[in-house]
Amino acid sequence: MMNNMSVKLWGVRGSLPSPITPNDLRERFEEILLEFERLCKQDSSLTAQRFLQALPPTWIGGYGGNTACGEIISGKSRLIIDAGSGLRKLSEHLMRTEPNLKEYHLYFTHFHWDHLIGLPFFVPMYIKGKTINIYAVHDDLEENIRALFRKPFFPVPFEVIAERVKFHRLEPRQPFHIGDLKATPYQLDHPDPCWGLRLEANGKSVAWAVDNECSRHTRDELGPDKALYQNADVMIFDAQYSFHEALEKINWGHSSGPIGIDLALREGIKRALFIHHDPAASDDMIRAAEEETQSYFEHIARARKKAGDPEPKLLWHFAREGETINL
Amino acid sequence: MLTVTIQRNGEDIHVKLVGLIDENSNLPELNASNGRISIDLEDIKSINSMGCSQWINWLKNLPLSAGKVSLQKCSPAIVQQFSILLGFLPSGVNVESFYVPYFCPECGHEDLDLLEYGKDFSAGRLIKDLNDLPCPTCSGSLQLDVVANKYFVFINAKAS
Repeated sequence: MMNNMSVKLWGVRGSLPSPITPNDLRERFEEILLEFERLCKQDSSLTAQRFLQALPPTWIGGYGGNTACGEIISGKSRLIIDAGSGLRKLSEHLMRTEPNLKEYHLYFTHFHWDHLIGLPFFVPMYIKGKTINIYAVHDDLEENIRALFRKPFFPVPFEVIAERVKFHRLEPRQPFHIGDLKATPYQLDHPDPCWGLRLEANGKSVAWAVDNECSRHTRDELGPDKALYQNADVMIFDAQYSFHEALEKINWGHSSGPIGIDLALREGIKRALFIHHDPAASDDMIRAAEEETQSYFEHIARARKKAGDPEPKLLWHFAREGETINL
Repeated sequence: MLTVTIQRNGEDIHVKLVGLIDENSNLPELNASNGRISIDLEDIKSINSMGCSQWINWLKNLPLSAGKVSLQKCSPAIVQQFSILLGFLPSGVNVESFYVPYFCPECGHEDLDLLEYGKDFSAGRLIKDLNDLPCPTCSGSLQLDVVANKYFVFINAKAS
């Protein structure tokens, strides 16, 4: 039986966890209820349920505040990418749904805080009989993880969990396997070395390209790293900034929706999901960046139509925390 | 693909760009320490996001502070970026002329009208009335093929 691959996004925020505040939530509820009241005056048969179903999903819950964490599943194989604050929810989920799982596989793209801070809260690390396999390309992988479990940053010393943790240092652009999942690290454009991942199983592929400025624009500049993207079924891409912010913030290591659209169209990618939303951006600002990307996409589609080229088939959206994409 | 033609007249430089500005485009290094630079954009068909990045970085290296750089015959692909992207038209760069697209809903004919600085628009003001024009291929009329309050926004922005 074929195992379909899926991607679940447990954290989509960049740089710093950004929970919605009680006041923001209250204001949002007030806006939504006022809108419901207004529409009820026009249509007395409108029910609360029908009204809520018609609202775009981000109007109520926003995009999410936890930082980078993704889960790739193919059959019984599972790989976790990055240990941002979203990892805590994934940890709870795993303990609830698969308490007897013995082996866990966790890949680090790099060690900036937003990709690391969830690790001390990954409960399986503290349970006897479990093994946590940690993978990265970086030479200082073990040193970086050990540094987390040290006073005064965290009360539990690394020695408490040491027997359950196995480190695997990877070679750049050389595949490793987790069951039927094949994973290959490729370099991204970020101020500190950062390695994205191409995941392949049963003829499907995912390109994980987050924390990526995409400052190497051309295929020639990308060199061997262009293999990360080519003909991927799904690309998870960095859209921390609006387009003009990304063009101003040179060497900040992040990108925007329009850059991802062009990359996806050029490399034959079928679907793009944009994450790593700026912690300084409200949900309205992220929505505005998504609308800006939509305008750009329509502009490209019109230009192609005028030139007699086929319209782009790419599907894309700015992703929310908790979304699952089945390939 | 982008084709670049450079003509020098004394210390002045005239550059004509033709085709597509994208990540593979090589925008030329220009050294005009005393002269003026005029850039003809009539035949730019399209510019993608990575091309916008190239464009902005290219303009940064030109002598913008002295107001010696001007854009001529800007195609709709370029004008649309003026309103979408902050920084695409930096202060110090003057727009001498630009095209406005028209479309005939009767026969599908497309046309362009060139608007010139001083005659048809000035900083902060559109002088020309953008009425429908007679269609040259049928008895219908050509209508503006852009959203006016988006397309012309750069004229107001240049005044502020």
